[in-house]
Amino acid sequence: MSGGHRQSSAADRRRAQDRVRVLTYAAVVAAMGGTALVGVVAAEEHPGASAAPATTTGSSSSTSTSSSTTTAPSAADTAGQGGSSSSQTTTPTTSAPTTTTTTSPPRTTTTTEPVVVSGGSSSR
Amino acid sequence: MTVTSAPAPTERVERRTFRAIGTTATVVVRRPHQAERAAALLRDEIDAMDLACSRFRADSELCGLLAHAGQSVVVSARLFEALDVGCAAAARTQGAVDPTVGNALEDLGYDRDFEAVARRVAPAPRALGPVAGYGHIHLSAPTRTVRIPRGVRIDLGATAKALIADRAAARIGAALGGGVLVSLGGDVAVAGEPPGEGWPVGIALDSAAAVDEVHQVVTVRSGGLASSSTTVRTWVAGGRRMHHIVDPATGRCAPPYWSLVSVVAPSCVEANTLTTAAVVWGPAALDRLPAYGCPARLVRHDGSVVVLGGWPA
Repeated sequence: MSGGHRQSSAADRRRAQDRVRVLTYAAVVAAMGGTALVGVVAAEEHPGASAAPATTTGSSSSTSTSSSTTTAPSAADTAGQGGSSSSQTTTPTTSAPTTTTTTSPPRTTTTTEPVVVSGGSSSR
Repeated sequence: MTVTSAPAPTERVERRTFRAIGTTATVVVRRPHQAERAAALLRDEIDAMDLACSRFRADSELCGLLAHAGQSVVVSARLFEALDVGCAAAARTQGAVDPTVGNALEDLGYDRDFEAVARRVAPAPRALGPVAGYGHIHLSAPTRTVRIPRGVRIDLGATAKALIADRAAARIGAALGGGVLVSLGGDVAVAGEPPGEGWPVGIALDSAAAVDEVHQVVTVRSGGLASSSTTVRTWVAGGRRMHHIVDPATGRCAPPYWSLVSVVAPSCVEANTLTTAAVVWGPAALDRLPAYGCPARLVRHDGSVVVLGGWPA
């Protein structure tokens, strides 16, 4: 049982804050259409490192999940193919700092495919 | 701040999706060979909760309980838990999310499976006024008995689906041992070790939105993520557009100030309780939600977005 109606304790709130950090990073790098801003944020918060390859593959029943940025145009694009009970992973590559600005064409692209969508409770 | 570390590796996950309880059920596992077993466990949880709690099935335990309104009745552990969770949500939100909205929902036209509701034009509501209130539901844990006043109809829609997600994720994670994500119409619960930075979840007005229609992608490592919308599950009654979130204080649809509210919380039940409450609270949600310490994203009907508790802009 998951304790579904558990109320927030101080420990829960600390864990929520941990999640927030992850969410902040992941959402920033994952924001579709905000790729120029991604470069700026990454450069500010993470000087000296940026970009790593991430691809999505999928069919009706499988997909690849990642939360990372990719530096164009030289990103190596590889997708992990899971084995019967373990998964392969790609080795991230680190490139020189990206100095993308909001006024220049995006140099950073993002490929993060959600595994599900949370929204209004559709009857579809 | 994990932004300084190497990005998460790419990982293949396996997903199973099927229709259930008027929406889409999805389970995603990190170990592909476990997908079928995980889907079977999710189906089992859904079927059991539906049989216990549906207000649309004459053979449900809840409908049987209502037939004995006014009496103390011993119920199954599952129905007791669902009612307890519903009442706890009401207490936690000072009555903004209340399981005694059943009469109001029926009056508004939501008196059958939603697929049937959406196909017809319901008569104008009679405006029943404030709901009875969860305080009239008497629960006794030692005897697992429940007493519901005569004339009060129960709707567990605000919590039961999220409870299924929490229960199923925990059960699948415990049984199979790997990371798992469960989604019921956008109510998301996760258990076990997540992939990389976490499970990527899209945020959109409609949980059935295509991947390229999402507003944002966030990741969840534990607990749950839920969203509530006033624009998706709607129907027409008396010539007016209705939605499924009732303000217990009025017995009417909550004024549609927010079109979408999303929350990440320690459980999916907690997340969905807060998203539903935020819709009921309207603009006051901006003052009330921070006390719960959960990241939240709220979208007004004019499209403007507010984020709270550290949810990324």
